[in-house]
Amino acid sequence: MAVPEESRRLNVYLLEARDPYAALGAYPFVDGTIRPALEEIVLATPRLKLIFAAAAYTSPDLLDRISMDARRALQLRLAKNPAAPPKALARLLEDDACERIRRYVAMHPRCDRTTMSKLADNTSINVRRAVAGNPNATASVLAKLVAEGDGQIDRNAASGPFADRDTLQALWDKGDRQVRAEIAAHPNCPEDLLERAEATADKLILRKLASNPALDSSVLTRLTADDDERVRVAAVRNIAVAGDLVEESGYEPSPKVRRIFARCRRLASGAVTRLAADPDSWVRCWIARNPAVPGDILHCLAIDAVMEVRRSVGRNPACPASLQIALAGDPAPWVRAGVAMREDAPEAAIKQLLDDRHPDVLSALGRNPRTPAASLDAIAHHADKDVRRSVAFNQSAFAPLAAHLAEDPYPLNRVIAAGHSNLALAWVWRLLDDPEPQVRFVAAARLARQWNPQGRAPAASALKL
Amino acid sequence: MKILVAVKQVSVLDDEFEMREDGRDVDEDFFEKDLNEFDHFAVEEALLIAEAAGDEAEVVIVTVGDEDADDALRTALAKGAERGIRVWDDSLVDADSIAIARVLAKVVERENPDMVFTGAQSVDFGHAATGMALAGLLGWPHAAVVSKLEFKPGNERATIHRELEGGLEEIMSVACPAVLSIQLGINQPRYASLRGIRQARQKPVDELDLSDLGLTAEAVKAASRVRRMYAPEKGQAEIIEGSVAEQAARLAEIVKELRGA
Repeated sequence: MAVPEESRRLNVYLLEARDPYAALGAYPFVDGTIRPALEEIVLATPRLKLIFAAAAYTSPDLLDRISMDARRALQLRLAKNPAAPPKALARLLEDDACERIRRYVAMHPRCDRTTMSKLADNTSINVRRAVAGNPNATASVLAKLVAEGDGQIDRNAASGPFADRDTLQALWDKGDRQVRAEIAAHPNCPEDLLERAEATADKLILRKLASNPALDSSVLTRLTADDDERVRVAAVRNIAVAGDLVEESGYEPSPKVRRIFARCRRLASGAVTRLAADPDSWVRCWIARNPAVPGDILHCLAIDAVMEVRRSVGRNPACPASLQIALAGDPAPWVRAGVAMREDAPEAAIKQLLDDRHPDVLSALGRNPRTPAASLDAIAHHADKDVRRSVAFNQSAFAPLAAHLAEDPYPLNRVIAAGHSNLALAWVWRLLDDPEPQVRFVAAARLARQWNPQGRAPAASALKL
Repeated sequence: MKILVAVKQVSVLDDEFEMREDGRDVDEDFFEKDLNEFDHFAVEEALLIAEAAGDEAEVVIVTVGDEDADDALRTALAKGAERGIRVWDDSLVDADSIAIARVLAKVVERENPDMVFTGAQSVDFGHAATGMALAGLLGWPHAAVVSKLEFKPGNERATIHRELEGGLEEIMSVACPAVLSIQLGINQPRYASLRGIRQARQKPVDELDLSDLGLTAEAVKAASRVRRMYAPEKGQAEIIEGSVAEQAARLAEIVKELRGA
């Protein structure tokens, strides 16, 4: 059947069924000519408007349309909705919006520069504070706000990503220690202020300074030897994030710091052996998961008394095949499950795990694309809904299994199956009649997306169901 | 063998809501309607007993509510109950738990079941009164907040477990027929299969009004009335930042401010 004909069929269905959830799912991907009719269906009742105004999965165009409604409850929901487009947010301020709405718009991550600039002049101090706390607040807006001399504005502005050197300098001169601490952590912090922060004995400022990604490595190294535990944690984490070699400066008494050490990809010689024998099991977990750890150390950690440590070895991307096979026979199901979810697990390990009956292991096998079809079939028919769901996530599962899960009694499993790449389109059509609104939403979106994959959809994160 | 399960379509509130103009309830636009959570467990318990008994057992679902309540009724039917009864009359709009119990008592007289189950309470109003009021009106043995039930069709008595304060558990024996209000966690409620949901659309539902049950509007007049519903003003909250010493100092300041010192 030709694609345009299928597309027309879907449009006819959407208009006849008048299902708001199917219409909502298809809306971002359909032809502009049908959109007004779908809007009428989606926003047919006050209740539906309220539901969709608050939903992050609603299309930005629909949210814009909802913003034309003056009902206060709708405006409040829109102002709080992370998917609300800048145009809709600006519109909320047109008709004498209450302070709550102005405040939510001011702190909204999608609030545009013009609106934010306007809100920076708002009569309410709470609104201006919210603008100062918005991570998108521009340098000029922040400069204007800090001139006010409000402590809360200063604290918010000091951590604003766009705060420039002049603003940070002005804030340092008049700010309290909390403001100075934020400035010390700021990537735009001027050199002379970094030096003043480094020279201070105030641990709050030093902790923040140690987390500054722009800090000189020699200063960071010095801070790793500070007598304050949290300063050392911040410094070591900063070095680890940068991927630099971590040099230990003698025995580290804090397990919190040693845990960060254990996560570093580049560790000084001798550190790995010492951390693998650490009395703190979380340190051993982190080192067991570290891909930079050599095989002989992993073998020692694979017989650790603590189950989580052994599981960490099994989850380590560099875990040798022989060790994976050994861990597939571990007495703890949680450890076996760690191996079962590996896509690179050796055949012998997978074979050994196929006889396992524990739900954790079966769920891991269900997601693994290397699990044989016959085993996936058994897992997809398991009595536990959570075990069955693992197969719905497995894009290697064949069409009949995807179809089986599209009829699962547990609604969430049907939602996931509706998006399965191997589910036949005929089945997706059937799901438009599903009793669960989420399933109908996903099915309609999938069908409509085929013909217009570039549709203006909400952010992918909002569609994580 | 027949088990009658009384269920309720409850209203679940959105996080932001507005009150009705008369100030006696929340504006209906802000409600999500659903089958009462406790009732899922009551229905499941009835189905488990019926399934163990075989073909001769019947589970009947009853609800008091307008057309909207059909969704709750069909949800229960989709799980496997045989048929449903929905009672409604406009004079029941402001009905309280006792008035609902009066209606249910008439349904029980009409159906003559061997057992009656209800949820321990409804999640929207939480009176936990309907089931026990029903037992009182019928003059039947009863037990509230049942967390375990041992009963087979034909038994003259049922053994039940009840959760009490302080972690205590009470084991009781009640004569049947009885009214039992079922606690959460007594079983693991099933999800209705798609087939069950489709079949539920065709299952028979008796729609009754007060006259069908020999009742009058006067007989179900509520003895209580909601005068006002409102959200009390919230107290202020402040996040105290800084070191332990700074936090303690600020805390002392707040205490002084509150005491007016």
